Amino acid sequence: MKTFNRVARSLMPAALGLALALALGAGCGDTGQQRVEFPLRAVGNARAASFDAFGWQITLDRAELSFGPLYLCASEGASAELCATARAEVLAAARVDLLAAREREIGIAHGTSGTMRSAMYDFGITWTTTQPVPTVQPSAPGGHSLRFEGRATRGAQRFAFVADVDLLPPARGFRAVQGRRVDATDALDARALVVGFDATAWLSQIDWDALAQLAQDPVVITPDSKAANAIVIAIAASAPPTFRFLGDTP
Amino acid sequence: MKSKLAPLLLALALTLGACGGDSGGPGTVQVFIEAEDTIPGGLEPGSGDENVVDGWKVTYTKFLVGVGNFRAARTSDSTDRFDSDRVLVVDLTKVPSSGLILATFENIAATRWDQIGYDLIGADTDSVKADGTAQADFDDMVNNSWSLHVVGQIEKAGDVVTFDWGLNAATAFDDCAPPQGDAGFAVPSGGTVQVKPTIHGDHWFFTNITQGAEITQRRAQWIKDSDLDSDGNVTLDELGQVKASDVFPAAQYNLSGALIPITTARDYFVAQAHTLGDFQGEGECPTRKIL
Repeated sequence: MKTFNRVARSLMPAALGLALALALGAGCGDTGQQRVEFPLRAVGNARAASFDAFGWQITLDRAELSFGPLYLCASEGASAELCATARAEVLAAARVDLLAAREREIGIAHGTSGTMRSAMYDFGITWTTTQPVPTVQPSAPGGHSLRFEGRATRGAQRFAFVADVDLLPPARGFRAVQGRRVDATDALDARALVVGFDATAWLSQIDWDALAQLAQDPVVITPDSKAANAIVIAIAASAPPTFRFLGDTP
Repeated sequence: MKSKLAPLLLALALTLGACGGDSGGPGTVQVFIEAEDTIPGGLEPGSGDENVVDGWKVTYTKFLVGVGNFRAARTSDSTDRFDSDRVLVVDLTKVPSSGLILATFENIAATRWDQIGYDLIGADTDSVKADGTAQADFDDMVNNSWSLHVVGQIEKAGDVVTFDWGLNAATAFDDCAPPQGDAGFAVPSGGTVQVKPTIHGDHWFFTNITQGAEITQRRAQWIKDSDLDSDGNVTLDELGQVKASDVFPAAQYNLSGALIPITTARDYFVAQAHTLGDFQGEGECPTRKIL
């Protein structure tokens, strides 16, 4: 017992030193993160219900997509490598009605305080490291990322169309969209995140003249078609979703 | 008493040292501009990681950039930094394999400098012509305020398509990190560290806008498909007339993450021109900003 006490006493300064070192070490960086959560809202552009696309009047009867999961990252160039741990995330994909006139809540983001600078996300089809193949989420309309139904009219020409579009992750462990910059915002200050989708811009990329020449009614736009490719490129690169953080100010 | 306090003092010393102070006498930093092998050597067709998978061979005859404004700082002390406003105009097809010195900094604190950046920037009259770069090419860069001028060709089965593209895609590259290890570089006490901003020559052949590691394929068919007048030469004007969706099938390409919207093939070229700046070979500078 005496031996134990002697050893314990001899180790006491080192133990005190270690405790002090740990306390001071904690002061080297900013480790005071707080848990945060804020709602994710989605909004389409209601004007997409009827719009002009290079002389064609497009009327949409249905425009739905599946959005998510969503990962908000500290780095500006988000990827699975640069954003192994998201600052905030919404893990479930949700159905979005692009013709709805108002914002709708589609999930809750959970995370920690700190600056968010970029986003990566899927459109209802995920391919995580634990999934052997791309996997369709329950919210995907008809098993696809997006589904449009509507009519195209130019003068006497008129046809209905149905479009199924897929945005696939390029490889296992990737998201369909990576490195989408967002306005740098501290997650602690975010009261909500509003994601906007511009279906008008996407559908305007389609060669409607070419679809008319197919002389089908309805025209079926399949995921591997040129028209679907135009939509995918528009969503990913020319008119991607907008991200707007709402803070305390009204 | 003295011996009992020793562990306490040692722990304190180790802790304070870990907070990022200087660790000895100063050292020297030499900044080299390095060209990726794909610039002087081109790209070969094939199925290897660095090959062009759709069968095209790529050759550059000119690859000029305006590069400079190197900067270094430390997270642990944001007031401590060193930089240079020197901008070199250099034809990277003519850079010696040992690299080209952009700047040398002496009496630099021997510690880790973890915030590293540099710019690809439009040339102006203050820019410096690098040894080996033709005066006429330098003048072209300055007179047009270009940050980039590439001349070359793609070739497959006797089919040759040439290109000569100059533009300003000025970009700041920051938070550079080597392929492995911590960000930035460490200066050895009394020694010299060589730092190499590395310009890559294959990004417009990528099938995605890489973020971090370059996990991608390389394809060149999009250039052939953009030759609207079939004269064997593709101009920037032609690229501007080609819809991106006509030459980049989604089954092969993922164009998300670009710094600019991509509507045309020209947009894609410009978007990739904003990604050329890398570090220490295959290391990345993940924070990119258009200047």
